[in-house]
Amino acid sequence: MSAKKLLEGVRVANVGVALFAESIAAQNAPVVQVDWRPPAGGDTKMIERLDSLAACDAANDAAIERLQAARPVWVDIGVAIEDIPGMGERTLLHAGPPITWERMSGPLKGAMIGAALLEGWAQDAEAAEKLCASGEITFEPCHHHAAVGPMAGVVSPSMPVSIIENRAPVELGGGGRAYCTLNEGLGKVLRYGAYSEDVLTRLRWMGEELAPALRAALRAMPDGLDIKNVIARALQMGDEAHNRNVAATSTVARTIMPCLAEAVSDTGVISRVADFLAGNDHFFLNLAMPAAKASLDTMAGVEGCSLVYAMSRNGTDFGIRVAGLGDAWFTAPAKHPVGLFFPGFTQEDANPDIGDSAIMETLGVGGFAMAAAPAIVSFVGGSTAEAFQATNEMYGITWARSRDYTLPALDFAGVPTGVDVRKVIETGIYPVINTGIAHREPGVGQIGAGVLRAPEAPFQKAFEALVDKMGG
Amino acid sequence: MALAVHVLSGAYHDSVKLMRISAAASEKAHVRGAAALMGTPMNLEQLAASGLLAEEAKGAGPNDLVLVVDADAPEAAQEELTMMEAALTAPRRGGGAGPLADLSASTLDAALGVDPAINLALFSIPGPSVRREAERALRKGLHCLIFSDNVPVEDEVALKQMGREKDLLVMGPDCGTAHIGGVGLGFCNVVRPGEIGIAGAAGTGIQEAMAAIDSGGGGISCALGTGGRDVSDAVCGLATIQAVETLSEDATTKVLLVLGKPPEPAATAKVLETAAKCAKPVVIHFVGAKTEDMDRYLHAHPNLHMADSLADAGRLAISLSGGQAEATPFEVGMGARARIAEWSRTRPKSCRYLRGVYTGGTLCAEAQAIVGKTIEGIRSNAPLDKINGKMADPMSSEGHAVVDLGDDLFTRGKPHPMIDPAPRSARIVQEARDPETAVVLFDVVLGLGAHDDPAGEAARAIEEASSSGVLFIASVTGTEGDPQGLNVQRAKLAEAGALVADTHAEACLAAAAALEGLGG
Repeated sequence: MSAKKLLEGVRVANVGVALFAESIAAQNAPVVQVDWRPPAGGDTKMIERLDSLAACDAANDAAIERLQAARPVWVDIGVAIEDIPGMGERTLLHAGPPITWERMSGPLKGAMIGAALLEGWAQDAEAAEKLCASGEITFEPCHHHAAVGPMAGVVSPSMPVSIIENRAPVELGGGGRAYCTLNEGLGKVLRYGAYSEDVLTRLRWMGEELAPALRAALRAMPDGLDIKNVIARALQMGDEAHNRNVAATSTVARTIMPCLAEAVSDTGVISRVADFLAGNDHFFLNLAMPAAKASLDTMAGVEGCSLVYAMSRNGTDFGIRVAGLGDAWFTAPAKHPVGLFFPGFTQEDANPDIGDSAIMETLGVGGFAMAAAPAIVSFVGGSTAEAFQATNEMYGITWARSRDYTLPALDFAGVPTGVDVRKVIETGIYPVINTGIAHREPGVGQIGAGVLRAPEAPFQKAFEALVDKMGG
Repeated sequence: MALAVHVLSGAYHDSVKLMRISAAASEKAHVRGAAALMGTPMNLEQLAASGLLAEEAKGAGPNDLVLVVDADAPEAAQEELTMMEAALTAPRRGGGAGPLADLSASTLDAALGVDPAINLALFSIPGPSVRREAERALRKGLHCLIFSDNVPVEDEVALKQMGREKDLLVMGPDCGTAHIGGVGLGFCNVVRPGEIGIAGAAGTGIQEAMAAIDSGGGGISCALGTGGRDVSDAVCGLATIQAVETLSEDATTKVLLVLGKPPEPAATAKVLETAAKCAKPVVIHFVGAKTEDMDRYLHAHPNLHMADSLADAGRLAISLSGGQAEATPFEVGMGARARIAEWSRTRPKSCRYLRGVYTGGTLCAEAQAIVGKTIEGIRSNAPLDKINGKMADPMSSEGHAVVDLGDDLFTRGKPHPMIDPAPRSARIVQEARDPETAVVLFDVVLGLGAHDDPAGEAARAIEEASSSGVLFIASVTGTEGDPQGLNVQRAKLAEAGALVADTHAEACLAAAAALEGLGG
């Protein structure tokens, strides 16, 4: 904008003393107050390093274009061993960065035991635990196999998996796929480390009846089911697409039901599948997560890009991956979420943060889109103002605003998307993550839900790695 | 008929919002019809019925957003289509930026996320941090107003050069006043809109001129601050030159007013050369500058005019823009002469000296310039005469002394005395109680950003020191439109017993008249 054009009218960012903003606002002129703080806490060496990464700007612009263009579609339901790339016969996938059996937390161990039982590798829990500890089972992160899983995120070879395909143009990273198991529901479930007989029975039913029925319904939809569209609509209906998924699940159920009725003749099956969807508000989370993964993975490997393409936890460690730093994980001990608990449970019972579901925040929804979900503002303090502030704060560490995921309560502002490691370091603001809370003992399951900040160290380590790779 | 169509796959937008976008496009005169809708079978039928179903849209599905325009000409249709697409992600129209505008942003980037149409960044952050932030703002295409002081001069030059390359204004550092697009920024008076454009390297100087223009019936097109150091040879008038060029091209501005403290030689030449090229009348006033340096330009360029004081510059600008104000030299009026004569009969015999107590830096300089024509040996912490004029101890006046309480020396870690007048009140009392003080001369500056009752505060100080017998002379820089109200503020000072002049220049002349012959 030229100097001459400025004379027609000012829209001001007031960086510093708030008095000036107040006086501009009093004249009914547009002004946004910036509560400026010294970058990187005023550490001049850090500022120099930040400035040495200026070349990231162009790379981030290119990467964010791919993220914005992504169009994740639910195309099919397959089976882990047949469809997930690199899935081995004696492999169990888990959430978060890599971890050994010894370092696994209670709920992750519980889920591994449950998966071993489900696969028939052991007759009882004790034998399953022994097997897991024996080294005969390969444990690998879902993220290493184009997959994601909520909470423990355990995927065993026989499990049915949704297949999400990114239908963006190939030149914008389209064509990629991501995988995720079907959501089991709330309460005592495998993903929270429960492995009692009722848990296994439900999982078997899901493999034998639910998955084939949904597969048939899905194959009756010529273009599949557009998940980006569902997330975008759900944000208009009070979901933030992580801790609240009731609108999205309802939308999916409504969309798929006519096809289900057409594709499946057994009314008993239709009835049980419909009943399952009706009783599980979080069914959609297991579609949203691979959709987020398929979208974000388009940024992986963009040279010089400082945007985060995965944030994830295994119940022991929290890890991030950065687009310009390839497959590397940058980790730190996982923190404990602060939350609201089911009756009979307290903060004391909570396991450290767990699950690949922080992929939703990586995309810019979940905790980043709290302004969309007034119904669950209790998680962030109880008022919509606090929810707005949570979203507002995330604009300080993200590269762009989403074109398609918008927030009606904020006049359809796009959600903050593309966490920039540099901005996190510069502002000292860390991503806010919504999450379920697992009991720290195996076998108990979910005990609440809450919110927490990503730990600082992974971002600091990734920043150092970026400086080493690109800086001066 | 010219159809333009765009199908966006997998984009979802709320239907009410889409209706608003369709409606906005359809209202345009050259648009026959427009629609923004999801490609459901029913919607496609509707399009077909209204003749808007272009070939490209026929294959659209329920998850595809269809934008279509039928206009008089293909270019018009395409243009409207682009606008509709932009409207999908544009923030709400109108004054604010929605609910987020009420929340503070953590960074400038975040603020731009809230309101992408922001075009100016106002910085009041520590000086050494300014360059990095302002460079980022310039890279984002924002003009900068830098209120901060203590910005290294090399940073100032770098920022102003960068601004010049990008055709962006860099006002400041140490720019306290601007008035752009009808909005006062920083310390600024509420003035009526008009045809006089100001480029000023002097905050309270701009304010004094604006106030004179307002009281003379004129108005302001805009006032661009440049920062006090802009007319030093180190910076060489970079911002002043750019401001003059900008105002030269501005259609609303009919007369330019260039203000500043005394410029250094190289800067003087550059600024005057630029002003000379302007096709509009330019009034130039550099407080305390030797006029001989400029005469050469004045003679050669009839569009250039000089004024004797800040207020005079304002009035001259009005008359050049065809207004009624007379650009006559200021005089001490009959009423003031009578007051001075009366005071002179009863004054304590020991008193001899002028003591100026200022909140405005440029006004402090003008006091030295105007009173200095009659009285010799005035010293200051911010001296016009940099070689001989320096006060020995700024905290304690000796002889004729004029202090600028807005100087860094007094404001480090504290609010400016225009915001918090308490230190100024204390200094008024301190000076009045010195038996050698004859006249206490001071400024009261009103406007946005200033204290809400500065005259009231000063009046209390006068009352506290009223037994001293000194003559208090004040001027009020402000307008009737200011939040504090010019007349109310003047009345408070008069009631407390001060001689209140119409302009600062007249206050200075009155002080000179009172001091003449006291042997100080």
